[in-house]
Amino acid sequence: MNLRKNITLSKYLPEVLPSLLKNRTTAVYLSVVAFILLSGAVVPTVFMPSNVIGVLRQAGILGVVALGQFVVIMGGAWRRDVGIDLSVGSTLFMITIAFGHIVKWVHSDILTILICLLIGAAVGLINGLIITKGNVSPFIATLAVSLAEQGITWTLSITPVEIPEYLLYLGSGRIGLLPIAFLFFLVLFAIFWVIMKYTTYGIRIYAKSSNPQGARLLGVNLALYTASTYVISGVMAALGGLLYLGFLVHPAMRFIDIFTFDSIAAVLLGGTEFVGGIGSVLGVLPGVVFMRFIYYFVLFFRVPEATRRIMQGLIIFAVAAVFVLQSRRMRAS
Amino acid sequence: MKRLKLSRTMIVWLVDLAFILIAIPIIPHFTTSANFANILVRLLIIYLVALAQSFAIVVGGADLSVGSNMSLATAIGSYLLIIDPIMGFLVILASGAILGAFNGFGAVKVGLHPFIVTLCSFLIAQGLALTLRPRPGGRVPEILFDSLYSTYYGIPVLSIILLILVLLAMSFLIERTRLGRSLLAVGGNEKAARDFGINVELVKFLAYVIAGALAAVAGFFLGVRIGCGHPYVGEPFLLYSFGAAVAGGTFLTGGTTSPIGTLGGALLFALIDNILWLSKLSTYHSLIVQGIALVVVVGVSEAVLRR
Repeated sequence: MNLRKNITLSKYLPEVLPSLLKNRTTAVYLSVVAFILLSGAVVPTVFMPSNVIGVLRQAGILGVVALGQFVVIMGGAWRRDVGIDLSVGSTLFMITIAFGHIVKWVHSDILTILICLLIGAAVGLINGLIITKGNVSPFIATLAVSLAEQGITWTLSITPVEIPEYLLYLGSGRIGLLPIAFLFFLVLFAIFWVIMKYTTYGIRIYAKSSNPQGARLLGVNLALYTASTYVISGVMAALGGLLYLGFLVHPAMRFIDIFTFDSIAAVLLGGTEFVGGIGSVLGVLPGVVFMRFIYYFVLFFRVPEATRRIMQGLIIFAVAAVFVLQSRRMRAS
Repeated sequence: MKRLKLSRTMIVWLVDLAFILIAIPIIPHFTTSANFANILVRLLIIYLVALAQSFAIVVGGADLSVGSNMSLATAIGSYLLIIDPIMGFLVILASGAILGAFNGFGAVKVGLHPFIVTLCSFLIAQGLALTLRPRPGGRVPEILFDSLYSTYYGIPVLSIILLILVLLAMSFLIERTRLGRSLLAVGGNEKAARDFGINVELVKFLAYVIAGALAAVAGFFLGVRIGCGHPYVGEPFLLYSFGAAVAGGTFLTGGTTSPIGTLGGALLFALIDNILWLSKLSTYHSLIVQGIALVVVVGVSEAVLRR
């Protein structure tokens, strides 16, 4: 069957390609691969092993956060407001700093990791309660929570900490060209894909996204499901924080939040939309790889940091524009 | 809809009043004229950037670039204002409007999500600011600072006049002009607005341009206040802009905004900052209080309005 498909595919590729592109997720994968190959043609050194490892490792860490963000964007809408979690970066940052304090307090690695994940869940629960019980729009609720988290983090001091072996392995280790962080993400990616596609939970989240009132009439507890997405996102952000800690080794106070907006951009570039139940977990992978690839790609141009920012902005704009125009033309034809 | 808007505005002003009444007896130096001037200048900056954000929000978008737009404005100002203040101001205004036009082009013509396109312009403006001023530096003529902070019988006249002018201009724009009404119509129901013959694309584009220009003006005053160009100084204002706009009654779903409510929202953030600063608490605690205040104001007004 597969073989047959392959033969027909190569034979009729010119005819098959347009219909293939009509599928959003396929189009995203093709655009990202095309962009990476194109930039490889311009700057062949981007395929250096050290660069590939770096991109995949950072993509893995961002990916863990982006999976949570995906669930929120898909199912975190409340009343008329779309779902979004602006607190993920602050949660991640807080966990990297708080880890050392908690370890000193409980004297156990495993317990510390559990507490960190619980903190993430608690942050998500607070988000969820403010949104569903307080009827505050997700944008504002998670923004406020992220302000508070930053305040808490800055009041903590940095303590020198012995990071457990397996966290270092998760954050910094690799098998051949594949960083463990990326493999770890791929496992979670598969789990999330199954959950969102085949379990009642995932199907209800999609139902809630495409038709909230209909879902409510069919017995979906909207408040519960909305809040649950923020809890998932909080846990994933905390997990991202643990991975990031294993990568950083020495947590620092100078933290630039490259997770909140990048995770949202990755999910949106992956073809997910804020309303209407449109999008798939599958889009998260090319989204995060693209977002991290450009960070490394612009490093190869020997230009100052300032110019690199501008290039990043223009590249994201160009690729997103090509993707949007392409899918618009496909829809029209 | 009118009553709803009014109530949200009233709630934020009541909270402001409560903050002031509590602060007067217990916070030392709160009532000095120097501090009065301080609060008003901060209020002016937050108000301008919150208005900028409310223009993007009202057409159903969001502008992530306002903060780095402000940083860029301080960087430009630190070179040009010393040569010729008026020319410098105009260049700042133009830089903001161009960034806004970029956002509008991406969001309206190309059809990108506002989040993506303003993330791009955030990076671009940040990069430009860093190119102009890799480190804080340059100089803004002291005369601008002095006149902004100058008090007449203990009253900072210029900042009050500026605040009133901005408030009147914005209220007029939103409520009395064709463009303002079109903005609300497009944000409220795009399809209906199109059926009424409103040029939806143009209105949305202009909303982003106005947002960019207003953020740049906020950056101009920020540059005057800190007296130099700084590549990161605008960053915290991104959060203030959303907070103040929403606390003041701009709904994120679009279609509703209130210049006077936004002023109340901006005052809330200016007051919290000032009170915590005077009570010698760290900026870190200020962040926590701002977060809680934001949730409480929006949550309480939501609860009151639903009744």
